[in-house]
Amino acid sequence: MSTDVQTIKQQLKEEAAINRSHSPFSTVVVVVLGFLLFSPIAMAAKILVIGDVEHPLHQKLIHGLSKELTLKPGKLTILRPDQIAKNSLATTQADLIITLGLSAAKSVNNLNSDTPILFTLLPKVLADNFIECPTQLCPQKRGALFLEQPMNRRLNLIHLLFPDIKKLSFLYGDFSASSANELDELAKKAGYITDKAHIENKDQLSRKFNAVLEQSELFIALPDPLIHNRNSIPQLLLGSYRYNIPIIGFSKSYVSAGAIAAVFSSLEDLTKELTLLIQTFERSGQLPSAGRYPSLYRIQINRNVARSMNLHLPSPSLLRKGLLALEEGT
Amino acid sequence: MSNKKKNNHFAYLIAVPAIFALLPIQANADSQEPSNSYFLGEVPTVLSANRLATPQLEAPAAITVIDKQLIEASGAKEIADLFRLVPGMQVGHYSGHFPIVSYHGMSDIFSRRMQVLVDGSSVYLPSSGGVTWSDLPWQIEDIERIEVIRGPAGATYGPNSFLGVINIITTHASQDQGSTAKATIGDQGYRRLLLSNSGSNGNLDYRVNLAYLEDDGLQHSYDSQRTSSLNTRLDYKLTTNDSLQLNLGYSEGPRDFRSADASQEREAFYSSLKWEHNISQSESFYVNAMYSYNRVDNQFTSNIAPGITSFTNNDQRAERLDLEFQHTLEPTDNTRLIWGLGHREDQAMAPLWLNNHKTEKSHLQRFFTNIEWRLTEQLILNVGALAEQNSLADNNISPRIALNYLFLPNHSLRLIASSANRTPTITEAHLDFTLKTSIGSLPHTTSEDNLESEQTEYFELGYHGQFLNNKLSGDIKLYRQNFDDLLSSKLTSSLPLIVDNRDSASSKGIELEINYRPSHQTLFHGGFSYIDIDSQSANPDYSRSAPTTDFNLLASTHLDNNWRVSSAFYYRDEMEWLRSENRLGSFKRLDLTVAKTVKLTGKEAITLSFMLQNALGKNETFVDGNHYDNRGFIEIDYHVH
Repeated sequence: MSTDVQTIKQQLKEEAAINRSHSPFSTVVVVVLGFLLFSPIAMAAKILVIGDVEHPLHQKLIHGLSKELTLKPGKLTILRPDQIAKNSLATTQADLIITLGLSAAKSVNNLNSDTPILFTLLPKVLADNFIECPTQLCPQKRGALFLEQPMNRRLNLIHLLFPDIKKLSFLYGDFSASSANELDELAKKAGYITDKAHIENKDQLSRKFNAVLEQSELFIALPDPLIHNRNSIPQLLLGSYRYNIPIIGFSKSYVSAGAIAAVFSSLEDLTKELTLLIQTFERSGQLPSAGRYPSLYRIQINRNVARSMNLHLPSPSLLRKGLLALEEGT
Repeated sequence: MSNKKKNNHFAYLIAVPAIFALLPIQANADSQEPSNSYFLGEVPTVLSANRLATPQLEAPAAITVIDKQLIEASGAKEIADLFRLVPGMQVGHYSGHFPIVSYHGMSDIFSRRMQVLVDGSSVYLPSSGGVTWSDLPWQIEDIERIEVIRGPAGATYGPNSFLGVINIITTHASQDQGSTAKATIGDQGYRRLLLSNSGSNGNLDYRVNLAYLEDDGLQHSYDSQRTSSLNTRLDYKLTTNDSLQLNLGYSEGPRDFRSADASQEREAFYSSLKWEHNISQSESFYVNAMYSYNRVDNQFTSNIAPGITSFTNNDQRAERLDLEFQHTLEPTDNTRLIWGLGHREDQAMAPLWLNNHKTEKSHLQRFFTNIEWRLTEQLILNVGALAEQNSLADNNISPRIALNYLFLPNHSLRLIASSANRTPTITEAHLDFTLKTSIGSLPHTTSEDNLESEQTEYFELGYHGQFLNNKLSGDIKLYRQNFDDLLSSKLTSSLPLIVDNRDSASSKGIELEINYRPSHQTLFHGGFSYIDIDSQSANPDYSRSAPTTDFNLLASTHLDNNWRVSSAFYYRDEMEWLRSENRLGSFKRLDLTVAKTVKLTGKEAITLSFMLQNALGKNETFVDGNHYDNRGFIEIDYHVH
């Protein structure tokens, strides 16, 4: 288990002890979306969304959610993570709590309420820590919608893009160690030869990246802030381009920056996915207790980079059909 | 213009990077929360359309790419030597420190019919034309790749893209970070020291090089040099969609020239600032501003006959200021449009060529555009043109049309028709070469008033193929090129000779290039050219200005235990550089390189290299009596990440 993840886990356990002592009644700051209209099929569940209302992505998701779901007035409440401790009433009155991002997840991790919690906007490695109850005494149902794509979907994309490629490489840090293991296992099972390197600190990045590229035909970016961040991505993209080795990114912006392709879920996809989960919850009271990867996704290709590398890639729509066929086949 | 400029340029070298250092530095992104924005947020565009290599399968031109691996494998010690790898290209040395690079001949000591760009900025010398390669402050280690466009390409590369274009792209400052100390010693008094440091601070990446070179030049020739140079590249991420690139370079030092009394002092300063804005993955624009300054101090006397002394004032000053805007967009799904505007101010003082100490000026405005239209999945049509308004000649338009037919996904045929113009340089337009002697002045060569631009028409049929999962590529082209209004002087018994647009010529030929990289450790490169130049002119004799055939072969491999061996062989038939009056015999050159890298720690490595150039012995070059001989080099390179 990674140091980062362990740290977060530890923090969560410590906060569990502290938060149980908070008074359930505090000052309530509630933002009610009054523009939602009555509807015959309007949802009856009361939903509490915890997120940073000033964060553009959270704003967009909440706005999207309010459009997708038809809620009766007063059924959707939004709180910031720092308001939770003083607003236990809101958490107990809600039928479902949805957290957006890491801070929000931390704020409800030790909640002494039986309101079910759905953790969102988190990668699997972090979300798993919240699904697993920190104290073994969690009174509520927990579920999660992961941010990233399942590894087999990424490998399927690689297979469809480059059917002749056999050598894959990737870097991993503590944060992405479990993803790296999963990738290594699945890739080998699919017949690929893998070359990987563990990054302990950013000073090792350039040297180890060049070393894995030497034996590689394709580099896969595993989400890890130590390896792929705003400052390191330029040298990774330029380095791979020098040796004519494409990079498979994990986000739309990675592809815009210069990666050859990525399969990803946009905020719109995640919003729709979340809507479906909420509707399922209202019907059945069930949440994806083991967490789930998004089923709605899209594919982005950087045509300019592909052309420059003399690569002929299928269209995103064709790739999408191929991915669906492969996933249905499995 | 005065020597005070030197101080100003030093001030630039220090002050401008300092301004960059004051730009806001964003907090290190390592601490970024791995949720939300990490997956859904923005990342700065790195491989923008402007930074990408031209795709050879779809390009409206034959292109040779010399990348970092090929550069390392070649063992070349100077940038000009790299162009021996390009089929149809000639490399010669007027002196040890004065290389000449031309494509398809047609060049004298100044190769005026080629465009040379470094990171998009022209380094063409505004006074006499051509490029003084040894004045360029960039080191061979700075180069990420060179794209040599073999054929006229004014529509995409600007004025003077007459025979071809050399487009040098330097390594981004975020790459290969660390410190390097490299020392090289070799025959003929070759001593070189390179110190380099690169790193980053938030949004700013930087690289600084300091180099010193001592070289006695060619054997039995008075052409030694001592050159110091400083070179900086800064890359700054302004926002996710905006980046700045600053290049600053300075070189200076003495060069021996012809005799002990004729030494030159040379100084050169190059700077450019580029702002690039990416609107989307398919749309971007940039604004590039460049300024260059070249100074030569070179006055000497010589005895030309018993009792008669000539006095030569070969001092030169040249400045260039250039601004360019370029916009790339995709108006529809199957079209890509590039258009741009440019303005250039040149000035030059060259008493030897202009017979006065006046600073002559010229200016040029240009508009260029190229539209790439995918007619079908297999057919790509490129139509483009460069329109120039120049103070030294009439307005010109250089159009180009090209059709690429991808009959299979990795195989394309191309048909190209283009015409291009070359505007006279300042010293050609105002030429008044007068011999100054102890018994009086003798006007020798002058130019006609109102010279026109030289013209060329070009036709090419080419094929490019990629095989074995892009590990093997091959390119072949058949071409014909006609030249009109070439500038030269009629040889008469009376002086002065008058330069005007009197000559015409034509050339035709075939070129092949093969690249094979079975793995990252091994590469093969080969090129062949056959050229036939036809001209009625006897002086200069264009038909001999390029060899009938030339070819090059290079192989390199990394062995176990961090050994690397490479070998290159270059051959060309006999030729004669224009106005050199020296017919050169065939040229055979074999270069060998052996290198061993020892990893000292996880971060440090030392590479020890031995190189032997001209292993087969002597080869003549340019001036009668000048020749290359075999030359060994030992190099030690210490690098820490």
